[in-house]
Amino acid sequence: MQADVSLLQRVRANDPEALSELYDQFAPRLYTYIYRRVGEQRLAEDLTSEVFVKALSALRKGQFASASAQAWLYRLAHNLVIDHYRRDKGNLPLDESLPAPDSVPEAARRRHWQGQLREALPHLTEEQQHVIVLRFGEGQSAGEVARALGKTEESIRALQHRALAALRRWLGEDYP
Amino acid sequence: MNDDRAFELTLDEALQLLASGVSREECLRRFPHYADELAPLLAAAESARAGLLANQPLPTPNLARGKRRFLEAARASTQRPLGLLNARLVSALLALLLVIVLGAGVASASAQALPGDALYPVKRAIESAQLAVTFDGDTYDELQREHAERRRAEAREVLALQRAARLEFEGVVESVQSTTLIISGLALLTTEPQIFQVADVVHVLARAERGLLVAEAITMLARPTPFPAPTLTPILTPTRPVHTATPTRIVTTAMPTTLTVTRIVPTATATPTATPRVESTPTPQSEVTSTEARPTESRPTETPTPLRFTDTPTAESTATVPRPTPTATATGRP
Repeated sequence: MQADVSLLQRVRANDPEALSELYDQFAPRLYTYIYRRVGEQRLAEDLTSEVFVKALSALRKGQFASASAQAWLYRLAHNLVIDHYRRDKGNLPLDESLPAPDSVPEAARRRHWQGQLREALPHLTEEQQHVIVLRFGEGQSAGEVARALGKTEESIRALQHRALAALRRWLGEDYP
Repeated sequence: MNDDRAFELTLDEALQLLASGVSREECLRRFPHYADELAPLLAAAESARAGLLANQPLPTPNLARGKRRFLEAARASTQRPLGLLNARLVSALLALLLVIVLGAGVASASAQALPGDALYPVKRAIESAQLAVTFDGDTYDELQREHAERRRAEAREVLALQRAARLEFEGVVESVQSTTLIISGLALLTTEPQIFQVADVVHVLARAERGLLVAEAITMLARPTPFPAPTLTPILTPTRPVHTATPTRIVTTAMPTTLTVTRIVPTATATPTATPRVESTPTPQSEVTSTEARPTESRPTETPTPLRFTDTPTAESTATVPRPTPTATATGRP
């Protein structure tokens, strides 16, 4: 955490090395998180970049108070994804950069579940959404998610319980 | 341990089995006491995995492009205190004003200007304005590519004319020699070229003098390695290696000669040195302000004192990551 504070102070002071360091350190995992949510490579790249622009703006306004820089950046990423969903309520395109599915039914299945989840996730709390994406999209353990979000492992287990219960309510009886 | 916690532990264990490939039915057989409660939750977890493309490899991202945008936005925001959005508008208006005041002929003449010429700032202002009013992503990228090629062409012409000028350009490392980097056809003198590798994408600040290009600062924008599986940087306990692109810090040392020597210093990735007692650390509460009303957790969670980032130096905020002593060492691939 001290390292986070030091880095963010340097970023706020517009230290070029710190700007580069911040991006290099967090961009890959933020891209992964955002990609799991939006399913489009180019969009995920753009939103990833936007996270850092917003972070810099927030730092300069003194708007940072979090247990960790990573948790804070995940929060910014989450908000950008939500804003994107609100702007783009159209069809969910299948990302052409993904490996071609073995069959058309597989592609249709993939698109179906992406759409289902995209509809359901906004009805969960922000923290529940983080847990769902990190735990089931990126395959992180409860311990890893706890460290990413600055929480205890016990809290994450409770959160994933509530998140899955909420997800079940929105998905109904439609399961893979 | 109360029933809720016992169930949550069991749920977590079942989810780990599910993720490892055990079928939902087998998971329920292993926990018969909780089978009825577990069944719908495990099904929901499978839906989440399907919707999040959990088994799909990620396409390799082009993070260099986003990094460039971020660094440009950071530069623009320091030069124009009106803010990023207003900075773009000001840039566009400035270019328009320049054309009106100077005349279309002058603006057109500026297109041929080289670094060091009186009209060169006009040329750059017009380019910034072009970017500022381009909102389509593909067109924006194409313009950036054109501008990047223009910077390299300018550098070649300045060198051919043996002018003295400060140059800025981006390019791809094509060759690494003992004292020189060949970047998109341009030979750049630098003291430690071995820090870089062929195919690295770099941003260069340099001085042209007597037909030679001498580096002042080289920033690596991207290194084309396969995109590895994401790993988590341990914030509290270093249990696995940090996975990041190696940030490369470039230090410029002014020498008592007309040429400037560049030292390239790899920046150590900061790793946590302390391990707080996780179990006693309560759950932090989100404090970022938001204009949107979002659903909140129904069960209250414990809240630690959040890390506050203010202008007033505190014992916490003055702690710094120890910086490495600058040494000439090459970095390996991350």
